[in-house]
Formats: sequence, C-alpha cells, structure tokens
Amino acid sequence: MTMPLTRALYRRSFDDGWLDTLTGLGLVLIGLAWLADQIVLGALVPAIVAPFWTIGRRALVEPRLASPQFGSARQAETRRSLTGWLIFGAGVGLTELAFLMFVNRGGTGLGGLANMAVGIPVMLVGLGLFAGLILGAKRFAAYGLFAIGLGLAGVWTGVDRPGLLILLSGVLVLACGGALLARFMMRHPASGGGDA
Amino acid sequence: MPEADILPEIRDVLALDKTIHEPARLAILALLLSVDSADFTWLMRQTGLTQGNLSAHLGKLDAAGLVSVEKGFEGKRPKTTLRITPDGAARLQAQGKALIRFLGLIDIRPSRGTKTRRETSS
Repeated sequence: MTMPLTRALYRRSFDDGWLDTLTGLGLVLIGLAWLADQIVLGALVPAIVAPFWTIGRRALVEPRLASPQFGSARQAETRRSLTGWLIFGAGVGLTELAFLMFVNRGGTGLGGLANMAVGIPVMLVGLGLFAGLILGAKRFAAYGLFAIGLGLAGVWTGVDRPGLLILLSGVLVLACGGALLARFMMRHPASGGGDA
Repeated sequence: MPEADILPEIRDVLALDKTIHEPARLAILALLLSVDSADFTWLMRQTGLTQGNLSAHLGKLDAAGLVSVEKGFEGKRPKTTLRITPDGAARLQAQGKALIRFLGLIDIRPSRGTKTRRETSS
C-alpha cells in the first residue's frame, strides 16, 4: 500500500498528455486500418505504438519535469494493474473478433443485436478506455463514455463502417492528448542544463 | 515556571524540530518520503522553489543528516539524486505525530480519510 502523496504524484505523472496522445494515435491508426479493410493490421497497432511510450517520455516529459523513482510497492501495483489491463484488452479483442466472425457468417440468432454490430467495436474500445482509471487518469472514463456513446449514435444513425467510429473516438482522444501535451510543454519549458 | 507544569503536548510542540518545521523543508521531506529517490529538477518543479532556494534548503537538510545528496552525471548533464535518510523519515514522522497530538488539543484533527494513512510504509 502506498502513501496518498505517492499516489497523487503518480497520478499527476500521467497528466502531461503523452498517454492520451499515444492512445488517440493508436485508435486513429486502428480506425484507418479498419476503414481500409486491414483489420489484422489494426491489431498490430498497439505493438507498433507501445515503444513510443518510453521514447516520448524521455524526449518530451523527462527533460522538462524529470521523474522520480517511485518505490517498488508502487511499481508492483502498476505492474499488476497493467497486467490486468492487458488481459482485459486481450479479452476485448477476442470477444470483438468472435462477434464479428459470427455476424459475418450471418449469425441470425442475434436478432436486433446484429444491427448493433457496427457500434460494438467502438463500444468495446470505450470499455477498454476505462482502464485509464487504473492509473488514476479520470479523463479516460470520459473518453470511454464518449466512445460508447459514439457506438450507440453510430447504430442509431445507421453508420455502416465500424472503423469510422473508432477513428472518431481516436480523434477525440488525440485532440485532448495534444491539447494536454501542448499545455504541459508551455508550462514546463525544457531546462537546458542539468541541475544544481 | 517549573517545566513539570507544562502540558506534554505543549512541551512537544515547543520542542518541534525547526529544521524540519520550515514549510519548504517540510514539503521537500514529504515529497522525498513519498518516492524512492528524485532528482533536483523534479523537486524544483514540484515545490516551485528557485534553484538557489532549493539548493540552500537541501544543504541544511543534508547537513542535518535528513537527506542524502548524490551528485553524478546522466550523459553529459549533471544529475543530483536525492533521498530521504532513515533518520529523516523517522524525524518527519515524529514531527507529524507531535503536530497531530497538538492540533487535537485545539479541535483540529485530520479527517477520517487521512487519519490512519500508514505512517509511511513503502
């Protein structure tokens, strides 16, 4: 169990917007891949984007704000959370894949649910976005709700490309991430030299 | 007035460690207690202190054996790594307890949510 101050500092260490930017970028790429009927390519996006997490932190965040070493207890908590997130993500992916295969094979037993097919991928993405809460980034709940709402709106308005809905949800997250990152960089100009 | 007439809580608050009690140093120690280690830039950003001010406070804390200061390089850039010492952690906790006892006398108590926050594990 970590101290409240540790948790507050840890939560704040994700407020620079880099996580949002990468997540948004990933969703935009997945949406584009779906729109181009390259769903498998979309599945590779997380693996392509993930290494940029460390690269971006080192290039953009650490020179401005530096970062402390959180204790081993905090690191263990994060590891557990991220493992849970990964398992959840894999579950979401598999469910999504199974559902799409079923619908594509003309799964008639679904009744009205088959009409929801177009919105389900982005709604599952929305559920996945709630995982940002694990890191204490409450805005991810808003992103998640937006994605779920987008899915419902897509079904209601008769959008026929699930990729378009994923793309739109990604654009929102990317825009918010970009704004947060810009604000962070303006507030914290890079320090030229070292320290005292 | 004989010292025995002074309430223990009052005696404790009069004996508070002034090195720790200064607000900036209290903040520095609390921040260092909440992480394993931190560098100078991070501490400067978190406290809003200027480089000179922070250096001066760290100098006093270092001289009192409350923090350890390790100077090194990261690539070509100088990097100062700071840690709270076990003595610093113990004295900060003792100071906190004395303050809590004293504030209890004037009906200022930590809220339920923060009361038991484990003294500082991890």
